[in-house]
Amino acid sequence: MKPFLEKLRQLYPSDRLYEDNARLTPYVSDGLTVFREKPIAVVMPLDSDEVVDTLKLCHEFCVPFVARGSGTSLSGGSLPIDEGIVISLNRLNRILSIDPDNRTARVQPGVINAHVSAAVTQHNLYFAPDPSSQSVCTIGGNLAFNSGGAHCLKYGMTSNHVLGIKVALPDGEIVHLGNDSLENVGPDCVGLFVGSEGLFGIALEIQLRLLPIPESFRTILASYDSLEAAGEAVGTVVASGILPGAMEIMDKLAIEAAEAAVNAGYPQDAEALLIIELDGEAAAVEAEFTALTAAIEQTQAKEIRIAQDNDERLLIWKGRKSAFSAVGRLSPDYLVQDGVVPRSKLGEALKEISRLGSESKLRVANVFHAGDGNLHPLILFDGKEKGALEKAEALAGKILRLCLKLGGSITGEHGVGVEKKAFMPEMFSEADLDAFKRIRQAIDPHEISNRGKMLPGHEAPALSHSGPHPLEKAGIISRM
Amino acid sequence: MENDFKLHEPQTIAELQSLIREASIISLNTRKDSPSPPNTITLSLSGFQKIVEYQPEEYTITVEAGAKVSDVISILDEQGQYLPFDPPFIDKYSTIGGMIANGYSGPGGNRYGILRDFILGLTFIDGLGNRIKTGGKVVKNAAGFDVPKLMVGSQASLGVITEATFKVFPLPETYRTILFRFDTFESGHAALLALGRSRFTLDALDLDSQGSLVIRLSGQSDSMDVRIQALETLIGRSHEVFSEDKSIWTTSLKLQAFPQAGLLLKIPSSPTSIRKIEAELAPYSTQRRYSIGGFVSWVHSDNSVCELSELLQKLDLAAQIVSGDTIEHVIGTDHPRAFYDRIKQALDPQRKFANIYKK
Repeated sequence: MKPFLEKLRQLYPSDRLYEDNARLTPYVSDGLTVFREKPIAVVMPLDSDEVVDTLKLCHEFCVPFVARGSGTSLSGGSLPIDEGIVISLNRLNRILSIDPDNRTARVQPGVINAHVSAAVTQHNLYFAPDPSSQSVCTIGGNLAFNSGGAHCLKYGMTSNHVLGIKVALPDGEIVHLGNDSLENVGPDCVGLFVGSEGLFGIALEIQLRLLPIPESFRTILASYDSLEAAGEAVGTVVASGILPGAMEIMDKLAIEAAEAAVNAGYPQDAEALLIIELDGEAAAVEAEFTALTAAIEQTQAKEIRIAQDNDERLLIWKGRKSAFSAVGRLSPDYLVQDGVVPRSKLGEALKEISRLGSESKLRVANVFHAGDGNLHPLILFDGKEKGALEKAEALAGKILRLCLKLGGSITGEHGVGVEKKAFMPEMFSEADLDAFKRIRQAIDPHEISNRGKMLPGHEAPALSHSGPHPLEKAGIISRM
Repeated sequence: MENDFKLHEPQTIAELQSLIREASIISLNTRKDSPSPPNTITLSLSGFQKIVEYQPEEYTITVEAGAKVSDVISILDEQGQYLPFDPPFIDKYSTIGGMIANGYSGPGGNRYGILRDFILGLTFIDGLGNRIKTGGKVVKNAAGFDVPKLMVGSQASLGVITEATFKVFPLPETYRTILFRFDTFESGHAALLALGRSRFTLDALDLDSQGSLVIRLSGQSDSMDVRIQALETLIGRSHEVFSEDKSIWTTSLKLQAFPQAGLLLKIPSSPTSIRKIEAELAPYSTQRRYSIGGFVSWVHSDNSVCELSELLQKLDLAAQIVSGDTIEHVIGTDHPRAFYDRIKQALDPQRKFANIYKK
């Protein structure tokens, strides 16, 4: 390792190369704090050339690396690798160009998600993917993990909003995937790269697709006497042929917590809350709104509220987006899961999760993207209690298996990372995983790019109880 | 070449796998007019036409790759659902596997996205004969590499697709297709740019080289007149009614005005770059139509492949050959090639399938 570090020191001044314990400590984990690993060094490149030089060095010495933005991954995606380095991309944070006529922006990977929308709002445009951590998470991380958010139902995930990528492959070779068009010729390499969890190298420049800000919104809150009734209401709305921008459900525990945290004005007597948002041209939204209210009236809603202005709308979303960190206040520790079930199985899944929770004697809160069947059960536990973390992990595993049994997926938007690697063989066959591995090795023969993530093999570090991430404690990030 | 031609129609996955394992060159004949090299085994997936799973309330459909696109469209239609990207160039022989491998999207891509935005899962047989299942059957899934997207536009160069799952959308209550006629391409183009940046959510936004803008709106019927009035205000002129029928988009606008002979190209473009494409290609013997709000250019040409490839390279553009008497797949620039070559090596190490880039 010594010759490698010596060469690294030639590339970086000491204020951009961390090797001492004190400066390495903040990097030992990401948003999933149960895993910790100390890197041998953290480097902070200032430009693409420094990234490429770093990769060439890693390739030459076979040193694994993980690219890191704000470290908000909930699957341990930016967890350091044993004997590896962290390439911190926070200083590659420039928006390189904005093209309003083509509705695109070219950005560096360290740009924060919310900053993109802020920079283009003067052109009446925005960047659609809206993970709950959007005020701190970076575009590079969104791209690596194909991040979602509340509005995926209508607008899709990060993958649907990336047109082109300038990539540094793990050996430092530069390739240009995609272009400035929605269309492409040849296999969709951009599609493959997005969501590859950092296993194919580092995105240096990203051409993002922007959308015009919708002219009009209609946001509706409906409360229900049971979580199942809210789940069934989702089915009724979907069957009515309306395509809302977002459809979210919160259960009682989540409602109470969110209410205590931000005073969102949610009904306090509800067992479950359904939030539905329509967006688009004013005339179209009004017509859809009439049809939507008719559909909701057919469900067993006990109360229906409609946001009267933009402030009320934003307050509803503030409650929703803060729900996870708010639930965290109810318990010293929690695990958040991210499974997907077919939409028609939502009711069944929720019932079974509640049963599994009582069986394990653990409280489970639910806040989730109901419109696309993406569940986020939040398992509450006290890490100081002996065996509690293991018990919570075991429950999380049962929930993921339930999702698979119902025909769904082990992750909707958090990615596999280190957390769900063990479940990959339950979702994919040996031949499938072998193909993934062959693709990986063709692009990264030394398997140095984010080694140990997504694909089984390369043991994950042991679980450790360490409480929430410092940023999360400070209320800056939240889990969703 | 014609003499060697034998169509293999495996009936089971195992038969298909062993055909692939034994063959040295495999063609899926995704472009019926392109000649095949000698010793080519041509596969037909006519034995794989089943609708594997379709629960309308899930808004997803899983079908075998040999299923006819037209059948899938009518099965969805019966349940009030559709593929919003308007699969183009569809005839009674077109299959789902061919649709994915070709990777074309029609005008409807303007609103909700193109083919790659609607594919959720995909099973294929790679060049070693392995059956590989990727993606999933639910609308949201982040597990594993997104191989379903990779296969869109792969032109049968990475494997034989056997099954796919798509996200589908509810059919809108009504459609309205209207036309705005401008005197020049430039003024039509200016309107296209203005519309692209506007608050209007248009299903389709197409422009031809004479400056005619064709727009499709969809939604609740009682909102249509108001929306069209607002469009007229923005554009500053009145519309002509084109049609209230949706089928117009799969029949009348199928580039039917272009001659059968010659080359038909798909060129990815952008709302602003089509102005340059129009100016640069007009002097050659080409015909042009711009679709998906300017994000794709369909170009018909009587020029030679070589000549066109050089011209496209000069303009830093790539094109996929949709039809024409040539074995080329992609001409012009080849920026992703280094990445593609690595994937090709992983999935088809013995080079049994076509190579989309010229050697």
